[in-house]
Amino acid sequence: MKNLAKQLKTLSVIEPDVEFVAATRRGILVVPGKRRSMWGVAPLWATAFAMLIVSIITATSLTRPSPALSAVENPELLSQEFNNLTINVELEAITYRQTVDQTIASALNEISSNTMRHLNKELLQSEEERFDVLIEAGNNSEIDTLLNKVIF
Amino acid sequence: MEDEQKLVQKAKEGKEEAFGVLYDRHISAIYRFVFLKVGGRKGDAEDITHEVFLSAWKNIGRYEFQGFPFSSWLYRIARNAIIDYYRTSKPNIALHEAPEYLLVSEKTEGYELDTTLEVERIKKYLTLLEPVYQDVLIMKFVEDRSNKEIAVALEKSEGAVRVIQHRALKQLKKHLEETNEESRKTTQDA
Repeated sequence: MKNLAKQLKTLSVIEPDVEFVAATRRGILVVPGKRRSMWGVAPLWATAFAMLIVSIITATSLTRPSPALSAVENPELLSQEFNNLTINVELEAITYRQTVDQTIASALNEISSNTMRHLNKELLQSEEERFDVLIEAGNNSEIDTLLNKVIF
Repeated sequence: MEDEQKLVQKAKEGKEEAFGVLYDRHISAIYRFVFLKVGGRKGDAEDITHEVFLSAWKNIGRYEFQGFPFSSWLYRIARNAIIDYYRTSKPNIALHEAPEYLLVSEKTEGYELDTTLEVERIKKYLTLLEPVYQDVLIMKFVEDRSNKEIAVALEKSEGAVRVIQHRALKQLKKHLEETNEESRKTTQDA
């Protein structure tokens, strides 16, 4: 086996041509290596920069409260907001009451007045009489026959 | 190794001179490895070697030092390039058929004849082995690489490398013995 190893070692005499070595060297080093990424920054630095930006955004969003919470922290702002709310509620109540009062007054006026057509006593009586006539007319056998036809 | 690590770091920063030094250090070994793997075809070996170093330079930013020599990474690129070479082209010259002049460079010119013949002979039998056996024998016995480095380059465990090495030597020995036997018979018949 030692002899084999020695024989294999003889292959180390193989060498590339000097011209080939020089030409390849020149040809390769003309090409720029892809060692840099975006904005000419090394990948490691680009990653670190991206992480820094994310950290800043996260930290800012955590330390800065939302607008609703900021009102709680400021008593004056909260009080002002509360006062405005009460005024708005009261104005709405007043508007509602005015409408209700007008409706009630109008209804009372109608009830107390005999001139209104649907509250006229004579008119109501004549309507009642007419209804009785219709009930009597309901005994008509022709109507019964027609109804039976329709139903059955 | 520390020096090499610094050079790699500088190359990663885009310094051509640093990569140039790494190129000078490893070009011969990588060329030899490729040359023996492609059956001694000089033109193909040069093309592939060029591709290996071009790819290494273009992708140096991706290289991460993990305690292994830079050459492990280069060998890995070379192996992939050779696989692509065999996948895309159909080499039609066997290694033992390659002209002798392919082996002789400026350094080896005037080298003793018996050494050249020995090189031819061992080179011929090396090509008869399985590709992974060739890889291990070249890296271990031609380039004197450690088992650890070979394991990294081949993406195998050190134990597996030792087993492959043992089998490869056994297979190579068998081929050599068979040839010697044939030569002996031929001589006797004559």
